[in-house]
Amino acid sequence: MGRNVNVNVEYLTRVEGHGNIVVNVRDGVLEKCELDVIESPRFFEGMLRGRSIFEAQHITSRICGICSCGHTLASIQAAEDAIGFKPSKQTTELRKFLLHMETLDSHILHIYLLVAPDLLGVKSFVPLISSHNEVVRRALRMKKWCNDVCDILVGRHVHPISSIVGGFTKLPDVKALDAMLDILTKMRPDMDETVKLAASLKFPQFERETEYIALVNDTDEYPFLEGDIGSTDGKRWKKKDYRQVTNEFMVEHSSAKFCKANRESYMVGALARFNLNAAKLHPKAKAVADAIGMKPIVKNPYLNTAAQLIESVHCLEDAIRILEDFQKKGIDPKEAVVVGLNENNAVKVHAGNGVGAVEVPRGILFHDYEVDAKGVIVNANCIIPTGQNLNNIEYDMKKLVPEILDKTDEEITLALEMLVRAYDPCISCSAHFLNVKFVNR
Amino acid sequence: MSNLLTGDVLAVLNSGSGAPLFLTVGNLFRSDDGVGPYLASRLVVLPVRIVNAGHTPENIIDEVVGHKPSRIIILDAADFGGRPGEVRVIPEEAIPETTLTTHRVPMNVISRLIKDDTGAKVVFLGIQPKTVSLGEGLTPEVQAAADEIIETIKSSLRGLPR
Repeated sequence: MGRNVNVNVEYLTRVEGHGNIVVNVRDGVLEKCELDVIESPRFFEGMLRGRSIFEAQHITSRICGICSCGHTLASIQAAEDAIGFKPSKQTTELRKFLLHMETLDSHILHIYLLVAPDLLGVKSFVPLISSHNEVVRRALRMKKWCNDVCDILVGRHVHPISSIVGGFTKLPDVKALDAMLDILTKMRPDMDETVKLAASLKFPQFERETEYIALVNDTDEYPFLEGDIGSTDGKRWKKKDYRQVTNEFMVEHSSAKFCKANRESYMVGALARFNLNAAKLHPKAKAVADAIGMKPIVKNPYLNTAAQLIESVHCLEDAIRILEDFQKKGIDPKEAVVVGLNENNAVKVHAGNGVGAVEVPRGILFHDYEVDAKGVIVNANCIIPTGQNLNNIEYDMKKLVPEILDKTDEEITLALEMLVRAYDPCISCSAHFLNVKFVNR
Repeated sequence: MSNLLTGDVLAVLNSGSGAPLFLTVGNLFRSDDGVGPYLASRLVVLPVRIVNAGHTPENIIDEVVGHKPSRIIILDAADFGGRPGEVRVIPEEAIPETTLTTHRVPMNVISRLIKDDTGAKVVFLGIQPKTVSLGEGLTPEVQAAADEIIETIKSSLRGLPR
């Protein structure tokens, strides 16, 4: 008779989403393998209805405390797309810079706080204070520096104020540019140490064929802010056709919708971006990829963390490049915009539909707005990366569990938790807070 | 005498062993989770040292350490299953190692690092929220508790235990 396993991991999270891992193996046969998402709907799309596109980004930024810049920028992009506004090159570069800071901040937190404890063999981040004190301090130092740069550029550590439809209400002066560059230059030695640490970590061996989806473009830029939607299966869509990619559907065990494109599931996030765009990474990031043996297409989802490391190097170096460019050519202060709710028609508005597609730390984020002639949102749709990954995580679990049935209950549970954490889902605040019940053993 | 605060909480607030630094934590847009920042906004006019960490407490470690405090009182909303507005001294070991809110670095990590750098005694005062859903303003129960805390600190500054 084969083995019976019943794993019930409650819960995967507390605030941004509640989730359970449920696995049931009877006589060696996998009967059930689900990632149950039981979070309540948050109704942000409903909140947007009737609100001006000039305040939408302040509302959507509150969807997530770690991706607040990404939601802000997706919101602005959807609004500008709807009214046919083209941002200036200066604005676009500053937005890319802002996104780099958020991605760097988020990846550093994920690598250090959520993944490293597993791979360093401790139960959580807290014991690292004793065993790896400098690692803890480095993680918090790097995070703070990213937040400090955001504070200088957009007026807050998180939830930006000055980034709006039309551009920025306040632009960095020479002193601010110097201050941001000073911070990021100081971060380089810490990034070197981060690479050393992460390169020494041993990730679990596991592979599954799947589809990877991320922004793609025809330039030599590693895309975060602009581009079409691309797939490792060779498909390419305009961002307005994002619904052909996401194909949201309901499952009984989840209050979050699941997604699929060309296959039964797809993955978004750092690994998807790496698999589609690795050739466009900054040379220093490419060197890290080479050093740790990452070459597209990487099919091990645990290596999403390694892709985050590579992207961290890219974001830091590209952010420094953007600042150095601005130091050389200067920032045009006349581009600062004072819009408010556009009471004085500073930005020309017309009715329309618009889509924002932005690569945030966990993957491609869509905001879709229908706007009336006054710039008021009539309908809104937001599809977050974690929602797109849930289905893929479940298919990974279904392949992984039968492969590790010779392991102990604790090892199976840990492997599943680590798998979910590797995706860095917004429901992963919980990382080390899982109650596990085994029965039939 | 305070109507709402228990003896151990009053003892913390009235303790005369060095002027404490008050460290407040919370999100103003999460209803009662904003009790920390609310307390900060009221305490700032008093002759006390105060650092409001808001919802990024991990970013204020250097600032707190720079004050060289010998005693730190952390004021934060904490769900310990009490009645709304109840205030308790929370033992450090009872603080979960997980994030209390999304992506927040656990408070005990922050507390530990500050203690390592300063040698300060750190006490957590948790205020039981009624709700932490999206929204501004405190519920009456938590508002009352916050006002009691402020009055107690004011009395303590005048050398008059409540």
